[in-house]
Amino acid sequence: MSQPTTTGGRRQPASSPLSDLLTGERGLGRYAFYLPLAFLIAFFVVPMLLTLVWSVFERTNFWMEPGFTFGAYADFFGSARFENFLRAMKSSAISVLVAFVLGFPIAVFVRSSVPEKAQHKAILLFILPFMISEVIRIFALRPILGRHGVLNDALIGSGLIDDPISIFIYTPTGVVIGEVMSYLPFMVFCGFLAMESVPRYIFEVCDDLGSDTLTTLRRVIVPLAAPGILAATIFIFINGIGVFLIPDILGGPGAVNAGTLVLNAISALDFPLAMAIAAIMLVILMALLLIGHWLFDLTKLLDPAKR
Amino acid sequence: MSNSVLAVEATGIAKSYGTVQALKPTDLRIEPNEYYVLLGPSGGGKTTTLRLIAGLVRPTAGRISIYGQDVTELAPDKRSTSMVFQSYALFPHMTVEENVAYGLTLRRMPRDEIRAEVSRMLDLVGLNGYDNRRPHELSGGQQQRVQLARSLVLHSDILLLDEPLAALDAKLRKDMCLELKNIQKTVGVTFVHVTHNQEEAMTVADRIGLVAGGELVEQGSPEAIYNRPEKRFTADFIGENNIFDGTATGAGLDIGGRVLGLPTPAETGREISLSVRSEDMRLLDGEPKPEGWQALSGTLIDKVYLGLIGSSVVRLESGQDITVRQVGAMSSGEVGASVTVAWPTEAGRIHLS
Repeated sequence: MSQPTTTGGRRQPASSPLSDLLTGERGLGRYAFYLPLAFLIAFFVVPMLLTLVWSVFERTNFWMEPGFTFGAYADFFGSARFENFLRAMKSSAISVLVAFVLGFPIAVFVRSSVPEKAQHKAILLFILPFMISEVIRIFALRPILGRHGVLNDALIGSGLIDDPISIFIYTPTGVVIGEVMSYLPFMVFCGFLAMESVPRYIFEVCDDLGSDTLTTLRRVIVPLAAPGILAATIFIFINGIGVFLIPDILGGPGAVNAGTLVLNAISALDFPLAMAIAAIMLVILMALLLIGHWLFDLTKLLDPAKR
Repeated sequence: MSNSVLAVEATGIAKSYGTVQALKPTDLRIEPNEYYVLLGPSGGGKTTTLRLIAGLVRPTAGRISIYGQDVTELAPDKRSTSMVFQSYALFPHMTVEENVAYGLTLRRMPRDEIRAEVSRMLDLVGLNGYDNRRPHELSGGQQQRVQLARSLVLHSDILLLDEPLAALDAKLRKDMCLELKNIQKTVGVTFVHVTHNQEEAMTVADRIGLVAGGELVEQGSPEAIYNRPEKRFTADFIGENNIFDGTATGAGLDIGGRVLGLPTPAETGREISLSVRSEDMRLLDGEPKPEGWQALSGTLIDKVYLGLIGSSVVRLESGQDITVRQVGAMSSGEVGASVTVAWPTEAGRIHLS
């Protein structure tokens, strides 16, 4: 019976076991929407839970063993590490502030004064620095900020100062400069994204009502762009605490942030301590996100319908 | 008239963007307490004119005075003008009350005075009790009322409205037009209103200025502009007119083979246009042409019944299409039939330019 037959003129849609398996009514296709969830669980929830669990394990000579102790936390809070951590938070907060003061006006300017068609292109320019590895970008600051670097040469050459300024590098200031340079684009992006929900008319309305620039910023623009500013703030703040490259390359011998602390703990084979520090950062991040969401509904940033 | 102070007096104002001339040198005179409408096609220069008065753009030439004071160099907030923008111009994060109060808080007025003033304005625009709503909870019409209140509350001498009703649907626009006119009469402030919508302009205006191609083409009362347009452009833009272009001869207007009678004689040899309103034209159903009428024959190519009006399109032998609108009646002819269009000679209007 190898003859093709049609029964009663009805034609079966083409099907094979494979396509049935993928797209059939009971196929695997219906699980496609769960993929992101699976991804989130595998690469976020599980590692984070492991971090928490390992942070209370007992330390052994070269690894750790199951247990329940807050030894790592006691170690962290009872040592100079905690002070270093606080100092990193402070320097990170300063970086956020500087990035806001420098970056947010750029976002406002692009939104208010660049022709609508060119706005996205202008913002895209800020992506260019990310085409270069962060290590190289930060390293490249050394010959610029050093005692005999480009910046000091320029200042001396222009007669503004007589002796080179040594505060630009291997100091907490150096770390702030590095962080601002690295993370300024995020303030511009997020600020602009939030500003997109601000109609361009608003600037003229404010002009017409007699609102000066500072009042307009304070009472209209910043409140409207707050979700974006907050998103950028959290991002820069957490990175400032966590990315060890910047203090390592620009901060000099004493410069330490949470990233450095974790790295040192791992070098010393104190894994529970490394996990504990990571867990503390995680808690800070989650708390900031929660507060931000509670204040401004951060999902607005990505959903034009909610604006 | 000439010795009274004008609300707006612009002399030779012009605006260029690079090589593009948005507004050619223009004189504009607006009387106190007048409702003046700048009407015209998009890109014609009417919004530029409004923004020049507001101070949102600076003229490349000319001077502007408001109630006798030269404001050419003044910033928008230093002029006694307020602007109502097209739409989406409310502060989305503020309540209705905060929106209306914004300009007053900048002027450091005491809080209870502000409150009283704001509620008086909300009453005026019919939004009593909406104080605590947010803009996104309001309809388009309500949002525009809030904008109106936000501008009126500052008690500026001149209110500028930039296509304030453009985003509203036709029915709402009609209601808002009448309301705008009433509010203007109530507050007694000079309104300058920009629109591309003819009906809107006719409804609200005391006087219409027709702006196109960067020029103030013609101005006058709605009635004058509709019935007695001076320029060919006006006749073409306002209402539905049929326009014949040709050369004036001793006998009338030569439109290439046919000579049409003119209501008044025109200078022989001159290129002129004759316009006739479509509602002044008739289709002759076989009857002879009445005395003192002009007639042209053609083919009926389309007819539409619109309820109040029946509209027929006739293609003349010259290829020109003529629209004839008759109240209540419909041409009895079939599409494709030969017909004659006719109009009283005195219904024609001569345009020299």
